[in-house]
Amino acid sequence: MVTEADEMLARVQARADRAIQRAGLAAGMTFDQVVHAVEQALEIRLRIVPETDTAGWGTLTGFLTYFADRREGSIHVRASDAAIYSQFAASHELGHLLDDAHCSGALHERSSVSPHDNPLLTTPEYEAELVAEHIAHRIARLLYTSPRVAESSW
Amino acid sequence: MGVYDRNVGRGAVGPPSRYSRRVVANVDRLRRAKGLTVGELLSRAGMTKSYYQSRAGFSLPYNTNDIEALAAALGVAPEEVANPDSAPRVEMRVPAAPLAARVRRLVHSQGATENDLVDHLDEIDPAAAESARALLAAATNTVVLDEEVLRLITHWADVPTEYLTDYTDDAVTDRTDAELELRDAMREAGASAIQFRALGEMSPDALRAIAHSLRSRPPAT
Repeated sequence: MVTEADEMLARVQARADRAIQRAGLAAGMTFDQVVHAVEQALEIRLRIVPETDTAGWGTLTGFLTYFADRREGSIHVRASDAAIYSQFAASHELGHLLDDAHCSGALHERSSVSPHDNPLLTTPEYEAELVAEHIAHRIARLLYTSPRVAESSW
Repeated sequence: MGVYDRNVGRGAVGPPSRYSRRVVANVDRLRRAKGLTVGELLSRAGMTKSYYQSRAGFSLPYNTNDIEALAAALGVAPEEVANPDSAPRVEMRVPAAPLAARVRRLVHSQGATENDLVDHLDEIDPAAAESARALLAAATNTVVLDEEVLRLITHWADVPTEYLTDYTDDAVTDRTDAELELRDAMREAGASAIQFRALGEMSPDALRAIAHSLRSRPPAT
């Protein structure tokens, strides 16, 4: 029997598949190449900003601000985080950008991951967060499980 | 949040909460339904006029002994007096200047004018528009408003109703002020959307950190 959760997971995986295909992301890419591929796919400019003053961040691991009129976005991560972690946090935001449903946002569009901890998220918001997180996991697999990385680790 | 009074070892009562205001409304509704005058109710409940007036005027809340005495005087169960769901419309006394300042803060956050807000309310309920106008122009220390007016204003501004109806709640105030600060920063920076990833609930400080980052960004090229 197919449950609602199964149906949601299937939708999430399909959206994540489309997002990865949309940017033509493939194994062996570096993180910078992934960001560039997203820029090209969406015809936008992106900046990754390592924030040094994160005293007030608390549970915040990264955020994206998007300027539709300039077709420009900036992804802010903690400068103090390990590169692998801050790249994952940034990849989550790339996931939002690549996800079909989140390419144009309203002024106060807001969200946070860890939907299990946020009862205020609506079902579409919850699903969008899962999609972004799935895309981040896929990007991580492309970055860190490719032969290129394995070879260079000798 | 109440203020802890070290001299007597218990929290000060403070202004009546939203729930307490519903109890006041219930007492008034039940009194009218029973055909009792205020004097008759007070006589039956063994309550002085000044004690009653400070509760009916939203300066202090009833305590549970009061609820029991009033229920007996009204011939109903205490639960009926204490049930918040049976009070659809509730009035409240609010400090005029601080509440008006909050309403102006909301107007600013919407990039609107006071007239825009009043016009919006006028389309829904002319009486609500008149109440909002009175609050914004109040020269007295306090004003009595229908809670629905404050709900309509917060709905228009897309903030929690408690920001105006439970203005003594420091946590709601802090979080809402931080949200408003972030909205201001987004508008000033020309940001059309913001997404963030957090492991658990975002603190007001985190919202302020994002606002600070937006304000510190280099100008568009």
